Amino acid sequence: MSEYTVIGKPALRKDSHDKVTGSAQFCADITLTGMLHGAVLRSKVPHGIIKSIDVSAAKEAEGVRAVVTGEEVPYRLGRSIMDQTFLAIDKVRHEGEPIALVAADTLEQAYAAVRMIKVDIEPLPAVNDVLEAMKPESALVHDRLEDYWHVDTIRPVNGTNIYDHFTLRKGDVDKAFAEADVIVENEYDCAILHHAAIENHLAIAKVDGSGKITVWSPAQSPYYIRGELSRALKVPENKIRVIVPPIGGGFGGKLEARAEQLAIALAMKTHGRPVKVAFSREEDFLAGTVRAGVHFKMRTAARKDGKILAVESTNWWDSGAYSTISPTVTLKANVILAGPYEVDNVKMDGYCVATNKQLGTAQRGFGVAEASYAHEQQMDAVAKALGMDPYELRMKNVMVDGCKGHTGEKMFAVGIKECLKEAAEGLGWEGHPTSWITEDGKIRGRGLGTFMKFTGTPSYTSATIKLNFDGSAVVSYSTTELGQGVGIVIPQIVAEELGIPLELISTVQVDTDHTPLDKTTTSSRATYHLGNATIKAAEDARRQICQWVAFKWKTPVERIEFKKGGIIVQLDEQGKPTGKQARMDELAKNGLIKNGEPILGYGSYETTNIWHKPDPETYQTERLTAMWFFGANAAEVEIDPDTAKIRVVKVVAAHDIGKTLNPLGCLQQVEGGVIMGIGNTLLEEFIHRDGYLMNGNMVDFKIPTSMDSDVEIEMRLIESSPHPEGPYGAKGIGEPAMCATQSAVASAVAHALGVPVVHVPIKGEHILAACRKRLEEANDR
Amino acid sequence: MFKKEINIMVNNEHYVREVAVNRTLLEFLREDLGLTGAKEGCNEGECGACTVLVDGKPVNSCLMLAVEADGSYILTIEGLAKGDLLHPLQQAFIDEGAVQCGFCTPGMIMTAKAILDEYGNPSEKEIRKLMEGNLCRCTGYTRVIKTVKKTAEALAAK
Repeated sequence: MSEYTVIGKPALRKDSHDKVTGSAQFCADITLTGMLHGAVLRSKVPHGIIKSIDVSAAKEAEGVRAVVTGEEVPYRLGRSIMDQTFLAIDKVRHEGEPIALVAADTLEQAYAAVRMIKVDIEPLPAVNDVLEAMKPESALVHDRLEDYWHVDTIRPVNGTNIYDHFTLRKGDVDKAFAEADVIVENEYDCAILHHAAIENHLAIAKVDGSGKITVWSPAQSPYYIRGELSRALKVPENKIRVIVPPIGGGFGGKLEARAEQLAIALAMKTHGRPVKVAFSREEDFLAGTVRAGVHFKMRTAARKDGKILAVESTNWWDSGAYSTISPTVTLKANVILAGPYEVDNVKMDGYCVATNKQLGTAQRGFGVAEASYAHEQQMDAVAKALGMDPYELRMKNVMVDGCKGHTGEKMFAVGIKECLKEAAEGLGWEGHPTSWITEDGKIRGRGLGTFMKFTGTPSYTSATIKLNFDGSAVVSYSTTELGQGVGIVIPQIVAEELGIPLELISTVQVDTDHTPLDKTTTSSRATYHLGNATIKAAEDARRQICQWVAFKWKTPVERIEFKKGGIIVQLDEQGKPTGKQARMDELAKNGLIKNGEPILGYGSYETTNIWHKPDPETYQTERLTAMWFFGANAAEVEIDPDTAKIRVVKVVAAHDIGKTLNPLGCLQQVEGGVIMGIGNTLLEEFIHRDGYLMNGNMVDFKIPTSMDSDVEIEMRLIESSPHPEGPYGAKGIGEPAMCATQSAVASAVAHALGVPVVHVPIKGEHILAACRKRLEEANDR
Repeated sequence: MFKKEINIMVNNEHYVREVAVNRTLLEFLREDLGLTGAKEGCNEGECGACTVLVDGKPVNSCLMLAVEADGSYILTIEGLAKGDLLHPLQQAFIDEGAVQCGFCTPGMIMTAKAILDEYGNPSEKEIRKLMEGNLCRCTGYTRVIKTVKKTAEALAAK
């Protein structure tokens, strides 16, 4: 029997009822009294000098209440480098960059006025390609990077397009390559792609008479946005309030402020009237954020027995016109770019590069899916060079507890070996060919993908649990619900810890004026961090409950015991139960806390103390992160040689979950993650020409539909390596769900065709020739 | 903008309204009637988040003008439950875990309703094909398709 009553059992989301009846009010559904509508004039060119802006006609247009241009709001945003103004000033750096704003009584009037603004832009050559951007003769996206403030953990290179140059050095790579039996060298590309949440970016802002700014926004990380806005506006954080309605999908895309600053810029001129700025789908493509493109150069050295001796890479991340959090994406990918394998010699150089394209930022996986694709293609190439089975090669090299990680730290709770074993087993790997032709002439292939990822550290979060006299509880926190299920897993923890029925526990709308401090909703961190904070808040509530029971029962508090399942027991002087007891789920009836002091449990969790600052040159450290995640996918694909269409037949996804808290929630994440990963691998790609986006719409930028997702998905949750510091041993699943899908599918395609996959998404035109060759080879036999 | 009077039934309520001739059905429902269950995801008929039923047929309400719906009976997600009693599809979406962020859910359910009304108990493959016009980024569709199939079977068995 399980030691838990609620934890580990499938639990249904609490917000579903509102979402199936249409009564859930997303940000777009909110209309405030007196609300105005904002529209944005955006740059039609990717790079150019603004010669003049004439807003005189727009100001006089019907219904117009405010017009704003860049010089009026010279505030700078930027987590890494403060390089981004609210609106373009002097220069535009990407197609779709906001130049001017209008607020009017109706949206139609606002758009009509925007069309009256005359803007004269002298086009400049666009920096369209990340490798071109690195050349000394390249045009510069930012003329003077040195003029911007930046965090001291990154190294922008003045006079270039380099936002940051990240380095990791472990062991002696040159010596290892000199001693290697096999060296495999390849280059890989990942296209820019879009989060494509079904809800676009939008925000409503209101500035009251005291200067207090209130923003309604589907911000993934409201405290992060509050901090960003506070630094930009030079307004104290207490003067900014962010209220978060239900979020229509995030995936990292709603980390950065996009519509928020525009709505604020207008609201500062509307005398207390709220202003809504809602991006159209086209605007969301052009001026939301994207997953950066990347070009990897990879070199791997191996001994003939299969031991990986060294991995070396230089890689360039196409991070677009403003840096946002992209240097951290570059960093995270490079830290794990040698894969979840024990490698003594590692050398990484990651360049985070400016181009005149959309802003590369956080996307589910934070660079890890791309890195996994590159390191797994390398593993397959090494296996081929050595004539080894790809599974055997991986198993020989996977990290184990106690080994030294790429950052030099001693690894613990490492579950990759079990994940890889389970994924391969689920597909029936052993003794099965990795490439074969079906009876109806289709090419089939099987592949493997592994990944490792770490959660952002140091970090912090907090929770409160308010107990009501009727025995119900309200838990509040500021990790947002973006579909991932935090809104059910946290109530589950409260139910488990306090013995209150799950249906009597509710959550609170996230609001920075009311719900407690939280760093971000990113990095698959919610269950681990907020789970720990919630357990502490429950402890605090239990302590207060015991005090009250002691008072009511006239018993010293030392003789009150709060037992599992929410049973409160009176003990005698010998510590034995007296038989007098009460149950938490009967609080409404037993009146034990009624009319007492209100009970409010508080708990926080932070990871500052466990983090050791890495050396800036080598990135070696004693401990980098609160938590490492591991996982493996095994995939089977079928390719039609006539059309080169790739169909994913099956994916087995094995995840080092530590401890499953809500199996249904995990299944939702994994099923969704696998399909998103398949979309990233086979469909999704921004196509640019001279900095212009050619396919910024839902027709030409393809995300998977129900027809693309007819894939057998098998989830295996591995609990053999619980995290010693995690809640009940749990780790995270949100990003892991898709981190190894891209690599496993690419591996399967590469095996099917016998050629490496050097570009994702994998399009028919990339592989048609290889399909023909593969069939000819088969016929020759 | 020219206006025209329309005579329309929405969720079993009769409305006679003047609407601008360029107003979409989606705008009319959301802004004039306050029925915000149908969502705007793309405004170009690709994502299906705005799906409502017009005389029983699923329609991207962002692509239809309100004046074109004159004389029609419209069913939106708000009109699907009978009082507090959820439609079997709504209940199944909750019970089977087919909802995540929920932004696409109203459109998904309305399309599914039209499929069940017209086809009774279609195969999983047919459901996939018929729901192709409703995009979802969270679920990967697996739970959604299973839920629709399961509901179709349950209703067919009645």
